[in-house]
Amino acid sequence: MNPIVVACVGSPFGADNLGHRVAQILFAHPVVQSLPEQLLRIEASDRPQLNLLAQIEGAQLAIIVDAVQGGLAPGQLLRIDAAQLAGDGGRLSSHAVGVAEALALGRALDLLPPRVLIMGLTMGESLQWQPDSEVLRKLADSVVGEVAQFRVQLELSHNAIAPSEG
Amino acid sequence: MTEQKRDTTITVPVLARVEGEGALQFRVSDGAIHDLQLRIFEPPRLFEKFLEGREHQQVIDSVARICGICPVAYQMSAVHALESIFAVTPSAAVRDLRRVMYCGEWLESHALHIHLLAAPDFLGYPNAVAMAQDYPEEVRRGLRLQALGNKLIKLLGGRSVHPVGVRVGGFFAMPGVAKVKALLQELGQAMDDARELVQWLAQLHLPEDEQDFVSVSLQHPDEYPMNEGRMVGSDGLDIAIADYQVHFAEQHVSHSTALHSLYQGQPYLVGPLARVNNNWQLLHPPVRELMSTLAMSFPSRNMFHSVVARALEIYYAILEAQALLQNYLLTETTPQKRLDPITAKAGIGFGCTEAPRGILWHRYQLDEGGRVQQATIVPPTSQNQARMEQDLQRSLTAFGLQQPDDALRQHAETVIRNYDPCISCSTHFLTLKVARE
Repeated sequence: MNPIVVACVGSPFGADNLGHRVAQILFAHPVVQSLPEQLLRIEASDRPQLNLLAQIEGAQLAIIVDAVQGGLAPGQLLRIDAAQLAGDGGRLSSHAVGVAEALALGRALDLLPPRVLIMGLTMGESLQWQPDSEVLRKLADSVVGEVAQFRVQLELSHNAIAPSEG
Repeated sequence: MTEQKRDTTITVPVLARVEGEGALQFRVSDGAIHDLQLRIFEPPRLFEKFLEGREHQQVIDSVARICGICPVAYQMSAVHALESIFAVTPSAAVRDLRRVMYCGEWLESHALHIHLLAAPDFLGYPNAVAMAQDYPEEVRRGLRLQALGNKLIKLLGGRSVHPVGVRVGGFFAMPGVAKVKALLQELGQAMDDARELVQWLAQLHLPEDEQDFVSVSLQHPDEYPMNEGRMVGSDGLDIAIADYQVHFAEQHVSHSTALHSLYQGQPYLVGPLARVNNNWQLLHPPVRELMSTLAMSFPSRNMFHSVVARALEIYYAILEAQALLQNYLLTETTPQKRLDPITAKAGIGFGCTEAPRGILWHRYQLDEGGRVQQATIVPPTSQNQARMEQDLQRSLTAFGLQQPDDALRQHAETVIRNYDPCISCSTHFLTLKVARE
């Protein structure tokens, strides 16, 4: 199991293609390519519903990349700790399983990684706005920054518990 | 003490935990229900019109977009209809693998319905998240079964949501041996989950509510129906699928953007309970043997036994997929030979397969280039709508119209969710209003 999983969520088509486009940037990102293969797994999936839980289960850090609606102007980068995410699964049904509903069920079942971040970009309400490559690159760089920072924490933690030589 | 009759109007303005936009409204007066309407106000999706002018492969990929939960059913009904026009007969291996793909869809769809809709209703929880606090192992088991179903679909469709692997005559790629072996191992491990699921549901306190209805399903002489067969009813109906429109009629009703289907002018039932009722002897022996040890039997006239019927079909699907994939490994170890190009033809074709929610009937008329001139798609939820209204009328009366409005509302929603309605599929469908006078 990779300790870090980045789950990019969204359809490859239409207005909900943010996760898919960010995943393509991450796959080719020089920092990502320089990381040990076993450290990081990047998933790109079209409406994974409850499969999102299987994608991130066992990781120590999960970063979920998704387009965000919610009354904010388009183009704002968001970084939300999933522990702060509202949602009790009240809308959870067989067909309507979004990221919030999946995470609510995962939390109830104790299936979530210790740390889950949602990194997204506000899309506005009209779904007409499309981010340019510069904005997508900024979001991808932010994701890579979180990965790099967590890698340092993992190494520090590993060194702290590793038995000393001699 | 005499029971006081109330006059009231009950409204459920938005049906919760169902797919799509609908509402329920009825009036209680003189101890009876009046004007009960399952109002579907989801805008029509016009898929049949979108298909006009499209060539055959576009049809197969487009209809998969009608539903994220049962895309396989839409693809299967479509591909069978197209193959009948093009006079294409798929190989035995393709036929088997299409059943495997269908097993995957029953697994994921039934597991989601049981754990996200039915079980919270029957156990008194507002949703699966709240139920998971007290029944974590049961919900985890449901997630495992659902995930296994998705893997079976992905094996053949390339992905589990809106798969793209189906084509006239077969698949774009037959599955590799390593992937099949890995899934066979998971299917073997899922047997206990399936048996325990049936046992858990059969001991739930389900409402006693026997009703008269006609169960309509496919029936095949040699196997539990999925992709093929004649259309049969528990009243003796036995017709070719091409004759569906002779015996069944879709009609507009003013309170619904979804058409109502009637059989000889009357509501009828499609779905897992109808399938089990009509095809009990065709379930694999271990499924029937397990049921014989439990305090419930089929055929059943209790609509709430649908949840157990779904679990039985989950067990069946695991056994069936296992047998078919084992056979695939024995017989198909050489690479698939390239399929012959399809020669498009004009004609009219019919496809009817057993979607998780019941029979899904397609009719296509193609021109000489194989493009759609006219398409008709009759999904299971629209076929069950009149039955749902009939069931609500009887269930709520049996439940007791003197019950408080909130209790009536909860019972009504339980009845509706028991059908696992897919409103978005049916708009080609809940909010509850009860008027007491």
